[in-house]
Amino acid sequence: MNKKNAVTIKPYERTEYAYDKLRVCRKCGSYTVLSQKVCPACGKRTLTDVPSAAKREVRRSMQSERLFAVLLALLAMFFADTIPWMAISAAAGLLLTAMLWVVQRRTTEAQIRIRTDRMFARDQNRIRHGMIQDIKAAEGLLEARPALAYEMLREVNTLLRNDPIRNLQAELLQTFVLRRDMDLLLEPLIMDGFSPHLAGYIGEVAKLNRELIKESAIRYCLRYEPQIRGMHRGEDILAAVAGAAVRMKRYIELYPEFIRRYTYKLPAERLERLREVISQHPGSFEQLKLEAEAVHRLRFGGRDSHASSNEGGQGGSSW
Amino acid sequence: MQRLSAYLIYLTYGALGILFLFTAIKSLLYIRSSKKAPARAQLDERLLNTLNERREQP
Repeated sequence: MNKKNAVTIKPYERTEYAYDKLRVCRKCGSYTVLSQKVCPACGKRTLTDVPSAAKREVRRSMQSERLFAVLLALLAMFFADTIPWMAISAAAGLLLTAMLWVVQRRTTEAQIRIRTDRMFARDQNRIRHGMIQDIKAAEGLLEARPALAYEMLREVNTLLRNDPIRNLQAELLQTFVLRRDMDLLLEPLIMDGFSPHLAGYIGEVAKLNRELIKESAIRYCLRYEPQIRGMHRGEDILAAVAGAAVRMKRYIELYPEFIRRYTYKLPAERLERLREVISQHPGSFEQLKLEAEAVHRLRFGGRDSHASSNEGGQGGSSW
Repeated sequence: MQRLSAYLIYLTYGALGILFLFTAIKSLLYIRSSKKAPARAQLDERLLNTLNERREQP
């Protein structure tokens, strides 16, 4: 087994929308998710977020329109042959330009969103190219600075979601000593295909922070259960996931068979939790109830499992 | 000279007319397009769909 490295991983900065992470260079037009200020392509400190770039374009086009309106008003005043007509031209120009300005002001926010949408459509190849450059930059650091490479891939994965990137992250995570205080992510790493790295990572996360085990992770384990069982300590991974799943009644309702299959491997505390939930819903989960009771009887006999686990009994294990 | 002056006032009318039409059309376009502007969540979804669409391998 490979030796794991103790690393420090920066917490993941969550944004409301994925595109909030995207930056565009005002100078060369490159896109990146890795830097906040300095453009990785041209090295200039000209990076800005996409809505700001769209806002700049919208403002510039609105200013041009107002300027055109003012010029027309001035033209009308210039050719007016009498003072009253000059006054009429000036008043009409002022009124119409003001009207245009009010409408522009009221619709600026919507226009920025429209412009942002157009930028995404227009620059989609450039954005994709920027993401690929970001991945290459991360790949260059895989050996020298794996934790930083993971952080970079995590950022790219916010926008570019595919199995190779996820697998690379899972593979890197498997080389780290994971701790409970780390800002670990699981949902964004769930793949379409099977990955032993991801399965191993799910098992570790299930032990470290079972709150991270959600429906997608349970479904992944169900889909690839035979492959996971075939792995080294594969059953431990599945039991850890089943143990994490019993924290919510909803998961017990959705996956009773899966939990039943690994009840015999649940630690005492998880088994107690399962029995507690089942006892709160008499008439439901009959098979699961029978299995949980049988495992409890077998493991603890007539004794209280709390007492047994306190004594370091069977099943009061590492998680 | 009076004839030239009469022609020039037509330019004033013309400029004011264009200004009126320009302002009216632009305002209408702004109001119409704003009603169809995508929400931020839609922008996000569209971008993610575009970037992650499966492409046929050559």
